Amino acid sequence: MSDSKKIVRFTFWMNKIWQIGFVLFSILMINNMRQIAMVTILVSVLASLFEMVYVSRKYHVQVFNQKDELYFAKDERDRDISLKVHSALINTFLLLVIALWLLLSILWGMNSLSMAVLFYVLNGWVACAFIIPDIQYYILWHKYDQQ
Amino acid sequence: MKNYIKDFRSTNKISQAELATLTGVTRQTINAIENNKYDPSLKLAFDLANILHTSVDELFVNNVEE
Repeated sequence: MSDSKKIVRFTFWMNKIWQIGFVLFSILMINNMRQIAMVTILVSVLASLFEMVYVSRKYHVQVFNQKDELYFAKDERDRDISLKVHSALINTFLLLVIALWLLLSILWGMNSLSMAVLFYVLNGWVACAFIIPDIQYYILWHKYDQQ
Repeated sequence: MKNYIKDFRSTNKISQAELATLTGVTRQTINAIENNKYDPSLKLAFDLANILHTSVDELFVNNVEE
C-alpha cells in the first residue's frame, strides 16, 4: 500500500472522530448539556492535533504552511488520482450548497423558518458537508488506487 | 497502452523498487504501469526508457498500432 493511501485511510478515520465530536458538541450545546459538550470538543481538538502531528512525523507531511494542496501525493500517479477525486468532490459540494438553498427556501415559503430551525438546519448541513465528502474521498481513492 | 517494462527490467536486472527510486516515483506506480493500470507522463516514460537502456517506442506500444 502506498504512503498516500495510508494517509488517506488514517486521516479518514481521524477526521470521523473529530467531526462527530464537533457535531455532538453542537447538539449538546443546543440541549444545554454544556459540561459534556466541553469534554466532547476537547476530545475533538485533541484528535485533530494528534492527526496532524502523527501524519507529519510518520509520513513527513507538512499539514501547515504548505504551498501545495496535494501535499500527500508522492508522485504523478497520486496526483492523477487526487485530481480525479477532487473533481468529484467539487460536484458534491455544489449539490450540498444547492440542497441547503432549496431547503431554506422551502422552509421560508412554508413560514417555518425560526431561529431554532435555522440553527438545526445549518448544523445538519455542516455535519453533511463534513462527513459525505470525506466518505466519498475514501471510497473514490480506494477505487482509483488499487495497487 | 501495452509496455515491455517487465521484460527490460529483467534484462537489466532491476527490481520494481530500484526502478521506482531511480525514476522518483513509488513502487506502486511502477507496478501500475507494468500492469497497464496507469499510463505514465511523457517525462516518466523517457526516464524509464533511459534507465532501462532503450527507447520510448520500444518500451511502449499503443494498442491501436498492434
